[in-house]
Amino acid sequence: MKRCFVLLPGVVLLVLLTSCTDTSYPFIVATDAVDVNYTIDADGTVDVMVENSYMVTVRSLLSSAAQEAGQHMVTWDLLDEGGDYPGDGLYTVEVYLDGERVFVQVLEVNRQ
Amino acid sequence: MTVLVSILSLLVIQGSSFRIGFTFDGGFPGMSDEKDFADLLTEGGLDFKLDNIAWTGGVEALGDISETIRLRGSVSVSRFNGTYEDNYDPGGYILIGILTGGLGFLLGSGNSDVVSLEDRSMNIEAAAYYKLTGNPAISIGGGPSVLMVERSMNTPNTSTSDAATGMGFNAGLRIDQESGGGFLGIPLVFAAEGGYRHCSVKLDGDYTGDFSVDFSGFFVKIGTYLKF
Repeated sequence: MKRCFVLLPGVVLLVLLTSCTDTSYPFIVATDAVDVNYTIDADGTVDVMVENSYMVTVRSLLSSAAQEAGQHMVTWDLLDEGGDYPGDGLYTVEVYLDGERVFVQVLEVNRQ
Repeated sequence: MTVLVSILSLLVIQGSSFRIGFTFDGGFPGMSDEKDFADLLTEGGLDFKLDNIAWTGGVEALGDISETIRLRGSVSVSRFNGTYEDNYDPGGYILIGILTGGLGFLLGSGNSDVVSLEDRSMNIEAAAYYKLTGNPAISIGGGPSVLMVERSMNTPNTSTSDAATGMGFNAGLRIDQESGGGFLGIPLVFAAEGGYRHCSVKLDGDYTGDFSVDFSGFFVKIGTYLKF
């Protein structure tokens, strides 16, 4: 009976600790060129741009490109239009289909 | 700053009804750029939450230069926050609780900030009021302000910050009531003010575009003053 009093809290603690999972953030941590996958539901004209945390467009990755419905990928080399590194911070890759924003991927950019 | 020092000097020299004290206010800022950015992050999967109220604390000095005109000078700091929090982590929460002898259970909720945003504004204000009544003194007025704003954003591996300086104004209706009591023999005065402040400054970093830190909006302020 005494052993049960000792074991029970230990077992409960063990179960709770093992239920702890690694933290996974809902954004991509980018230290180098990063691939962003997106899906569009219809054929149309697609624009993909990268904005910084001030909502300033630092790079256009795709401009008025005709794409079919389905999965696509773009790559950002972490540089702005002038070829400069715009600095660490939070960025968003935004996909526009026929002018309407259909996808946003958040990136934490921290170039090593 | 020069204007503020001049006003305070005038109040001290003038002598009567000079009062100095601490104020605290809550405002409802515009922050339209921050709201758009929060919406964008939320669309991207981060449930980013912005505060609804900007809190301001400051020091004010007031004095009457005539029967009907009251001047005020103040220095205050406004803050506005936004966060994306990591979800409750039972393992970490329990460990912290055990290691702190149970204190962690009392103090923490288990959540932790992953992305945190803080907008700050240091406000130096000068204002003139027209007194409508005696005691309680109801007065109405306003004046210009110098604003030094800063926006900081922290993520797990990055930290960004940009600042700028600009001008604004404020206008309000205030009520000053002498308490009848005192502190160390100095009479205490309580005051409340409600009004509107225009406090929007465009950041001037290389990559900040037209982004503005906008504390503009209606506010309600209370203060306690020592009257000399």
